[in-house]
Amino acid sequence: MELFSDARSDSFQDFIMELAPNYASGIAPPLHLFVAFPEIDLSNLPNVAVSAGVAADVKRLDGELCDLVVRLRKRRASAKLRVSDSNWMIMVSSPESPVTSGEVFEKWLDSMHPKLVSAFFDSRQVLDLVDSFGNLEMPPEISVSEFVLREYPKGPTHKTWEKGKPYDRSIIEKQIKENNAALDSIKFRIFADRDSFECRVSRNGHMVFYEGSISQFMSLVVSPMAEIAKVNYDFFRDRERDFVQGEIVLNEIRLKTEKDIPTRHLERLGDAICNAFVGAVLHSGNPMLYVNAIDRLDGSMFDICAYPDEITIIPYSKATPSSLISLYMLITEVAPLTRRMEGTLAQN
Amino acid sequence: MSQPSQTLRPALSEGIEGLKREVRLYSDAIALYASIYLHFQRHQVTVHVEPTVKIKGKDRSKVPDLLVEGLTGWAILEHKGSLPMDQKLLAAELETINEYNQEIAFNESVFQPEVALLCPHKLTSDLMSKKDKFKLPTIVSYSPPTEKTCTLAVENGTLKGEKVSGLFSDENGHLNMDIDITERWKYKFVRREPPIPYTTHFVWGFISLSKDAFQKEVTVQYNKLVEQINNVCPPWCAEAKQLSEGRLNKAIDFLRLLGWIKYQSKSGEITAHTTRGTRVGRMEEYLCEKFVKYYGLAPEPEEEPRMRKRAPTLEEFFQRQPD
Repeated sequence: MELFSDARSDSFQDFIMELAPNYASGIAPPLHLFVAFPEIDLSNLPNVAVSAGVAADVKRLDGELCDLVVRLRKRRASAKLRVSDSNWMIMVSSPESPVTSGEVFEKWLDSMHPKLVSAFFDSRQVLDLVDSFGNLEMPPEISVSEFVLREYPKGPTHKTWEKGKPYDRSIIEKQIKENNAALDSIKFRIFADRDSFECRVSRNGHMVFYEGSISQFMSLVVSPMAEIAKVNYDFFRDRERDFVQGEIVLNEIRLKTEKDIPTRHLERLGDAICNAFVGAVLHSGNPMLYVNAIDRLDGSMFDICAYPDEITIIPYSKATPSSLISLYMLITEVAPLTRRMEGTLAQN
Repeated sequence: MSQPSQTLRPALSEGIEGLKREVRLYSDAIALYASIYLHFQRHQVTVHVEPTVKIKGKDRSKVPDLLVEGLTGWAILEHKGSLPMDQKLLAAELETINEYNQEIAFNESVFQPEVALLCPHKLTSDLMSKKDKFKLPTIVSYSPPTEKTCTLAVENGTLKGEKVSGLFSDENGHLNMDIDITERWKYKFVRREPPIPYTTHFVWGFISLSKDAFQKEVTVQYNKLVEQINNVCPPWCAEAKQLSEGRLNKAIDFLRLLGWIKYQSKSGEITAHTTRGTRVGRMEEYLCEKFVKYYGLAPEPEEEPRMRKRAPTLEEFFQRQPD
């Protein structure tokens, strides 16, 4: 079985197949999986990690597979890294302390901003994934065990799903609207005829496989989500303003809101941006919020202009995808009912 | 653009609030000018923002806020974001506007412009109530420029120039400028002096653009910085750069005072400690507070800023050479 349409070497598939029996019998620790988009070469990873104040050792194995050991202050974790043309995939399966290793990699990836760009998903995309199982030839049974909402500035809230209650997207969407929160993650189990598996998918791209058919997990969850992550990443690339025949061409990002953002939330958005970036609020949210923000780490700069029904991000001459994604994730945390509009001013 | 009186000496906190308000008003004024500029540009009418004109026969220059060059006539719009309560001061303000009611020379053209006061809509009813006491010019009012659609309305008198007049109002006497919000944010400065904390924030941002990820220090060349800022923020007209060297110098002085940069004037090298300013919350508030604390309540530093001597850090203390 081919797990990825772009798989070129067998080493990765062999690795997954090696893991399969233990996960099928439920005796393996959770597998943490991250998708990232590199802005560096693999050979530079150790040096860049040192510059970022962390560490990384890479050892090439067969084909696309590498051993990756990272250090974050006093903590250390190891993983397999699959390097393909479209992304890097980090798989952490540590029998000693699986949760800690997953956390270490999540934080390590944060530290590597903007040189490694973590995958991310919109709440809608995560729910679309779960919905997509219903379109399979033999639709499996979907059982949600919990979902986590993230509300700014409160943080995450765990919502338990009533046992035996069938999956219903509208229940989660209602909670999202009522709580003005983003869907942070969802944990679910898929029961198919022969194969079943349990996993969690988070908006920050962190996926966890608990048990069951790892090949089903890879083909039904990881592979489509990696493709979505690539589309998302590409959306934020090349957004710097251009200079064409002496004219400045803006490559702004437009977000539409499904429901008007209240004035107090616009003000909150201004404060949130100023806490995460170096930001100056030049108009504070009645009716417009206008903030100029500078990325603390890489110096990317943007104007953010927010009205109750529309938010526009206008990058300057430097705007890394990683920085724009951080800003977008923040905006969708404060104003969760926000959708990206395809294209730019010039194209619309 | 009117600014709060610079002679008042209110309490420190009021001074900070006043400066923050100035920063906001400056930014709003740019939104207004850019909206008008871009709207008229779409109708093939040129608006000169803060051009230098000559009063014919008096051999002196003036800088009106906006000069509209219509096909059949010219109009000067003099912007006042607020007007004084005091009757004498108000009379003086109106007089400065009426001074444009004479022959004006601009570039190769000589003309008698139509003159209007450009002011917020909320001020017009108060002004109109004083119609008997003062010689009011034509008033063009505007709704807040930060709204999605900024509306202009001719409130008192008319703008007669056929082309200009037609552009200023529909049959109801209003003009809705549904300017694309994105385009107007290209503009960051007007010729009128910006509050130094405003300039400083943008200068700090433009310095930061040169840094690589994880770099704690970045060095930029003074000349390149000026060039970079003026490339990214387009000029209103060829004669006026968005960021002059004078403005940059003031921002550099302030950043030096904050300890965020070192500037070697001989080599033109600006070295910024890019970890500074990363945990200050709202930057405009921080810069306004620091500005008022360092410079007092005067809106601008004198040539030699009154530096408040700070206590040396332990590192500096031990590095000192013995006297």
